[in-house]
Amino acid sequence: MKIADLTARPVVTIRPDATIREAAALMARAGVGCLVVAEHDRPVGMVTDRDLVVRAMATGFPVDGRVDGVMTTGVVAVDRHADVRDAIAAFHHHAVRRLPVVDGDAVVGLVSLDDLVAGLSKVFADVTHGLTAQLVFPHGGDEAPVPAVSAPT
Amino acid sequence: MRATPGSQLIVTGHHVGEPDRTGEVLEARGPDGTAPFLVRWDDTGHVTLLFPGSDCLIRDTHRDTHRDTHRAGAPEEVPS
Repeated sequence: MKIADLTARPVVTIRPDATIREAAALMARAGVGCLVVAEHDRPVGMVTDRDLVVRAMATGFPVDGRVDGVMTTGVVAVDRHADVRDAIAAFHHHAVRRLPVVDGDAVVGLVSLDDLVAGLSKVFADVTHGLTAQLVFPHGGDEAPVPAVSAPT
Repeated sequence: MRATPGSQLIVTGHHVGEPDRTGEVLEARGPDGTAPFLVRWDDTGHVTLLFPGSDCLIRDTHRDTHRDTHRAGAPEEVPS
């Protein structure tokens, strides 16, 4: 399974010089809790609703301050053509919940742990359906049952 | 910030006592050796695509001089 199969929702980006207030308003309007801070589609940071609370509100950071003052820098991303296993490894090794999906150096999507669980759940469901079918309709079901063979004494 | 394959990438610790994280740049995917960088981390061996922030340094291990360490966003030195 490819990353592109999991990223159905468009990514919401914001400029680094946008204000905290604009970031919060954009989160509310778009119904998301995470924005990719991008400059000409190139990711330079990530900001979450928790960042706005913990790094801005809790510290008295002005709501008209720049969003790049509270964002997380050093963005770990995943290529849109990469395998889902690459995203799983990145989630594990970098302790993040969201990964920007990039095409070259441009952000084109966002994959979250939730997306990953939902996508893999569908795969597990398909496997389960196959297993259930084999249990209900075993191979050779129309043939006579195999006689029991006892071990020689 | 520019790097070449083999350069060392250092992510400085954010808290007191937190160690730096280091890795080897395998590939620079931006134009002219700029980010994003494909990095193999020394502590886990895992490979990830990184857009470095201001907490990252590049050390060119091919030319071990003081001029070879660049901080992201910092102006590059002009040779005298």
